Amino acid sequence: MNTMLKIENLHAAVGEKEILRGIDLEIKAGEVHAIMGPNGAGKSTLAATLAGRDNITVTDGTIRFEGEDLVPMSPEERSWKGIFLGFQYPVEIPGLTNANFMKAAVNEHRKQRGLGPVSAVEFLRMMKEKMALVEMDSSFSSRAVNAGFSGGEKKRNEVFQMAMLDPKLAILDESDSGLDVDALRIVGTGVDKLRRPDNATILITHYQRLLDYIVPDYIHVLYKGRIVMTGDKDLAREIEERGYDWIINAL
Amino acid sequence: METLELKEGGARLSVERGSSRSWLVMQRSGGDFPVEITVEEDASLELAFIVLGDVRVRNSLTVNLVGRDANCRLRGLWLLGGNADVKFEVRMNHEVPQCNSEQIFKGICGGSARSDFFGLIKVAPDAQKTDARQQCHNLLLTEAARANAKPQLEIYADDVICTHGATVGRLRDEELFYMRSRGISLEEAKKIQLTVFAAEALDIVPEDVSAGLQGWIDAITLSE
Repeated sequence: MNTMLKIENLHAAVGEKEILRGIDLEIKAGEVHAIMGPNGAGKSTLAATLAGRDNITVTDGTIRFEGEDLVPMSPEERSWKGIFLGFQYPVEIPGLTNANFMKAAVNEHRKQRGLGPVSAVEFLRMMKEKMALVEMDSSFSSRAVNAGFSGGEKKRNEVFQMAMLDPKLAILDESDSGLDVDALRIVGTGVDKLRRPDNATILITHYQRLLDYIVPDYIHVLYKGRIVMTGDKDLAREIEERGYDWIINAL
Repeated sequence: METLELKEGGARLSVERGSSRSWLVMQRSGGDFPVEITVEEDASLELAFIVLGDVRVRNSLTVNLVGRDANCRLRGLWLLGGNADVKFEVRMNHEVPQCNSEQIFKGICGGSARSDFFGLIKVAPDAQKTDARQQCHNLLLTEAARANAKPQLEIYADDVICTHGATVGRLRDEELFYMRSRGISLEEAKKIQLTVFAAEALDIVPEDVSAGLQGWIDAITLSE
């Protein structure tokens, strides 16, 4: 299978502080990788680095996406190439409706592919279909982006946006945090339905429970900016039972 | 909504008892414009100012609510660039009971533009049951741009609702990054943020007028 993402010896800093200290990771089309690890390990920094957040500086190493160097690309270029970040803390944009937000995004993606703006009918059909995936009711499209949304609604909105943009690689940063059991089921099954042989997903999570819905091919444990252990789906269960100490102590 | 052409030297107007007027003032060239409007009993005034471009404008607006149940909805939007210099003074006088006023001002300054807003709400001693609200929010697009907003309340009655809020801020990086991560270009994300910001001051303005401002917003985004 084709390598989609190849990270080699990645070092990255937030300000002066080095957070990622030599990450190697290879992801192929069709795979789901979970990244776990204690607080402060660098999980969210890794996600933000892949999405091109400008307060993070790559100080060493390489990130290649479908063979191309990702590091110099702007966040929007990465999105056009097929990278999607599901935010841990989705941003509220009062005054901008979900429908207008997504229309702007979908149309920019189309423009990059040399296509004209999406037709009203087609856009409505897309919205309806993807809203159903995360069980959003029809009022959702005219509400302002995440403004006044509950924690669960915000995370469902991330999965909805992912479905609308149909990325090749989705990086979901704690899409399961702060969710009740119903919202967790909706988010989990939603993401799982989007799984295809030609796309890939990185799940950043603290908990085994999301992985009951989306069974990963690999689980990586991140600690102090490095991947210190890689296993299969059973590793999550072991971490759930035993914590991280046994891994850290063995280093 | 009718267009009101202000002449240098200003105007004195009134909204007569039981009637309602809705005026739009577009300002694309400079000058001093003192305006005083009296709103009588049961009368309604809607008034929107839109100030555009690289202009030197002095607006001094006084609204006198002189009859019971008079009300005023006042809006102001300025989209400034270059060396624009805009002073906007508003005096909202609640002289009698049971009137309400709602003011929303939004300012965007690019280039080396500067704006100064002063807004006074004055409630006379017997003007009980007054409901007076004022908001003035500003966005600065460049280091050189400046905005001041000074709200002031003078309240001599005790059974009233009076609120005001004033802010001066910049484009929010969090929002920009969120939009960009969805493939919306930086330039487009800025335009969206400015459009959304301005929209609140345009709620009483006809759609063709607010749509016509898009070109100004686009220009100001690029002129940074």
